[in-house]
Amino acid sequence: MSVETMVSLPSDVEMIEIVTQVWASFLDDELLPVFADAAGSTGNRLVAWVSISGEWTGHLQVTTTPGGARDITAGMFQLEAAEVETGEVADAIGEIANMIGGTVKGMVGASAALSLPQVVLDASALISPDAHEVVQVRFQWRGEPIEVSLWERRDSNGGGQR
Amino acid sequence: MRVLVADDSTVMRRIVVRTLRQAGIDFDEVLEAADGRQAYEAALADGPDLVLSDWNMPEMTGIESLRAIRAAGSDVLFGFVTSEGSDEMRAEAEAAGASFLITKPFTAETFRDALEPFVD
Repeated sequence: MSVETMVSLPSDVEMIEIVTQVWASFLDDELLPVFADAAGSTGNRLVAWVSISGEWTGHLQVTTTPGGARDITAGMFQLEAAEVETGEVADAIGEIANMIGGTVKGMVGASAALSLPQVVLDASALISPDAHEVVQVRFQWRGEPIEVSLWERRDSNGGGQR
Repeated sequence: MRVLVADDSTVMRRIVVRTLRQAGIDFDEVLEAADGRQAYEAALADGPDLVLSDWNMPEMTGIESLRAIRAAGSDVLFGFVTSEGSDEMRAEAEAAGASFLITKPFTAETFRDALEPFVD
């Protein structure tokens, strides 16, 4: 009989709290969750993620539209949206993923390692072939969708439990 | 007071400096480092009074940077500003010579509470 280390993954409510805290601190604004199933976006999207490796292995992903990413970046840098440059978008959205991922890492295993953030500016057709989604929460901010999801690697040592 | 802010994210360095101002911490010069090696070099070469450093950075991590700074004989006031704040990391930071660890996201109040015992 195999013995698996079960780790406790964040619930939807906990994930919403983590993300809204980031917004309150660094964008000085309220972020509202969206609970209704929205139709899948067919437009361009930007994805930022950090990997967590340890007792539980997977990644924390933040997805938004180019417009949403520009607004978040402008808010964090305190610039006008029109002044925002591509490098600043990658920096800001990567840092959002890093902050949320760092908090999640603390919940799934103290000894886990957190990667540096990775950002794909045009991720319309990007998929995660070796992972499946275990948590997904959605928000809307200034009319743009923001999705935060947690993906578990299929060969992760410990099965995540919610 | 001269403050060295080390973080591989440009926006986070800006936010840290903005939060220091909001917290009413008096400083007259900000130095910046974009990775742990730059932080180590600047801490020794530029003589800051305070180092605020991220943990997870390229080249050298924040904890490696701190250990190298202490090994070189510097006793500069050093605190972490990081997205990860487990008990293990706090203990590791303290053992290496850090005075405090602030977790992201933070507020001006968090900064004030962490820094007040150490700065005027």
